[in-house]
Amino acid sequence: MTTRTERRMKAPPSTYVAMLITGALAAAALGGAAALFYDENRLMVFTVFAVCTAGPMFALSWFVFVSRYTVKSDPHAEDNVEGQWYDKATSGAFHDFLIVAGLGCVVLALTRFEIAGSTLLVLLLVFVMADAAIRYAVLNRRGA
Amino acid sequence: MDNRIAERRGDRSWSQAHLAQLLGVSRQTVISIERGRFDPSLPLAFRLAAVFECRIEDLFTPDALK
Repeated sequence: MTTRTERRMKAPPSTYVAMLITGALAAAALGGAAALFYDENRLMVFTVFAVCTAGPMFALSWFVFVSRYTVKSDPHAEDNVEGQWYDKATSGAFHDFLIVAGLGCVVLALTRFEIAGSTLLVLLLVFVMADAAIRYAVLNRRGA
Repeated sequence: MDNRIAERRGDRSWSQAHLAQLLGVSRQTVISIERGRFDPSLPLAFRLAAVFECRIEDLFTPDALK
């Protein structure tokens, strides 16, 4: 928990440099890996994938290099009600995922409907994230 | 589980935010405990007892014993 008397935590500048370099290299590596699977417009593929993955890669490298200096760990995090809400929301979303995936398999088998794997994964990902977010919001509202 | 957290807190004229700060948890956690919507973990129950200088049994009453 932060208080007004606590000093704001700062990370050494070298950690930000490491974050930028690692994030850029990781995004470039992913862009390069994607370009290997395309026969045309490899420069365009490299650029698009590198740009699209740059945000998450910078965030990941911030987590690895910088967050240990700027984010103070909460020794009592598990005692908070918000943690229980999160556990309940994600647990419920997982069970919903099992039901939806099972029903989806039945529907696809019956109708012989074809859907791209990447499309299906994105739909499932969005469904589970939205489900967990809604469940958390409902628990928050009930507890407020 | 019933509890006397709000009563004990009121006796000391503490705000929910102050109690939350003493316990190292969020204010929402204190609110939920006082309303009986969240049963605290054992370590948190011990911290509550320490803060109010009493035993855990003085703060919480299990439903089965009501």
